[in-house]
Amino acid sequence: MEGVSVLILAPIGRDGPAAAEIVARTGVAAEVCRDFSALIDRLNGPCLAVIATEEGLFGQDLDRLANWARDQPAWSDLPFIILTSQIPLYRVATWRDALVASLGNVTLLERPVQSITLTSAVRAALRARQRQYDLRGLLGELEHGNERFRLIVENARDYAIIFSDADDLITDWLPGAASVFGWSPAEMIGKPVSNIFTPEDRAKGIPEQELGRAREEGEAPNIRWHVGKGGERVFLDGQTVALRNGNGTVRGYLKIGKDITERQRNEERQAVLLAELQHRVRNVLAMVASLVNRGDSGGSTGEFRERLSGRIAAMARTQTLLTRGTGLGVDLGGIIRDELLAQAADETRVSIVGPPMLLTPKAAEVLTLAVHELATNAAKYGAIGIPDGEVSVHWMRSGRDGQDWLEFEWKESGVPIEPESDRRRGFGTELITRRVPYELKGKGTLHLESDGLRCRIAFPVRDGESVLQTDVPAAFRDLEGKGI
Amino acid sequence: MTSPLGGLSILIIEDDFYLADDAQQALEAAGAAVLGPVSNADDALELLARTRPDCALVDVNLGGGANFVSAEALQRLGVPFVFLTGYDESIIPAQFASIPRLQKPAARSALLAALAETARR
Repeated sequence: MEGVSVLILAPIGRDGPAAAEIVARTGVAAEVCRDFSALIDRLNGPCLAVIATEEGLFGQDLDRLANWARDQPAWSDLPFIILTSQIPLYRVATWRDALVASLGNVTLLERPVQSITLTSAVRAALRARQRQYDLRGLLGELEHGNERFRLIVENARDYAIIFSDADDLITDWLPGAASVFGWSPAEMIGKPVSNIFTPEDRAKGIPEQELGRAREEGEAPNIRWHVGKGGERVFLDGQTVALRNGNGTVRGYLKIGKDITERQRNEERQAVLLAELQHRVRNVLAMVASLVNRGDSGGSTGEFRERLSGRIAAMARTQTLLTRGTGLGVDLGGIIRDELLAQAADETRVSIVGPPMLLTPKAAEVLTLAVHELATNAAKYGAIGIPDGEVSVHWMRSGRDGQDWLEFEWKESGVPIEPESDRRRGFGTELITRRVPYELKGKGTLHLESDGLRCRIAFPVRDGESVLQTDVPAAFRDLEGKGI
Repeated sequence: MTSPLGGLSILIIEDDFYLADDAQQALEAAGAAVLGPVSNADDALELLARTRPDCALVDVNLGGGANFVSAEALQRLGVPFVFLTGYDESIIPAQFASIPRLQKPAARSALLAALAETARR
């Protein structure tokens, strides 16, 4: 230890130089202090040991030395070698007891001291002091490691880290936990960790099961929804680890988990979308299979094929509208124009009047197909197909039984009707008179009047729900309702 | 013409008119008396309060997404039933693990066989 020396306080006689010589022989530097005050000043620097004679200390303000000894850092316990003096015992006994007690690490050598005795005492003191310096180095490293650990732990804001005692009461609520869950350390320390579990999991005894598994297996996965201060759900992916005493008993637990709420929500939403896609595809195919088997089978295969592909095309148009954007609903005026356009209707003989209306996917699907049937029928047998025919389509909102209803009317005019003409009860008729009541809880009628067909469709409207909202599986909507 | 469902009263819960109508025709042709069809859980519950079918055909989607209200009511009443679903099987809750299920679109023969077996269990 360069520049570090043994301090010597022996103001009277030959003892000072003699001690310095003995110290020098052990290979370390000796520094002789002039008086007690010089020793106290010098103690503020690094030193290996103190050799002092009693006459150098007697009568001095020993509290200064005692205070210094008491205030040493935790790793330090400076060795003192005290050489006794010839002061009469009755005068010195109490003083000596106090001195020995206040310095702590003291070796008392009675004079005259053999050289070998002092040498061995100095060597022992140096070894002990060397150990103390080694310990200081280790403590420094530990502190440095701790500091890094603390910085990591305190800045890992996506990680909830919670320590608890053997009863699972919180002892450390680290900043990550505070940022993930919203509670401050003051609010959580001393509370059971089970506070962050959902009420459902608490009712099922999940917190206890998790601790049991951690005790038995050392750790237990903790991958589930938790609940934060504002009642919001937080998804943690992590584990609970049992912390043990030297004798193997559990002294507490560490719970550490990454907040993956956002990712979990996205995954759940993706699962919903996938399920919905599957459902829709299957439903559409089932519907197409049903379309093939129903409706008018009269006419040639060519005619049947034309009707069928027209209906499938109308369904496809609704699907396009529905998937264009979520939450938009479908514009009724647009549907009607599209269907008439598809029949190449003369725009001057068509009037379309009605307020803007957004429809639910189901209502849009039924109405599109209904308008499609009406338009193809009008092109073939009615107002669109003859030179003087006119089509008037109008709709409005009205209140019925405290509910908002859509009242839709399709009226053709200028169509000569043969008195004996009899409409077949085909696909379109079934759609309007049976599917509307069944699926939309409404009413649909078709009447052949003196100058053309009149169709009325009315049903209660719900505000435009998006294609997703209507069909999000209930299990997932429940989750959303809980604020997940 | 065999009547695999002869003498059975069967409730149909299906929100799609065409699929409900198809099922009704298939079941009636097989000798069943059809209750409903109904398009939503409320109507199903109302009907079940008045009469008890021998079995039921339950569509998992009833307009508002996967909905198991009717299925729960049937289970409570001890009425056997078959699920018809366009969703993946994983969406069906564990409490219905023993309920037979058919994927849409289901073949008529598979539908009749599943109902006949369920009703006579």
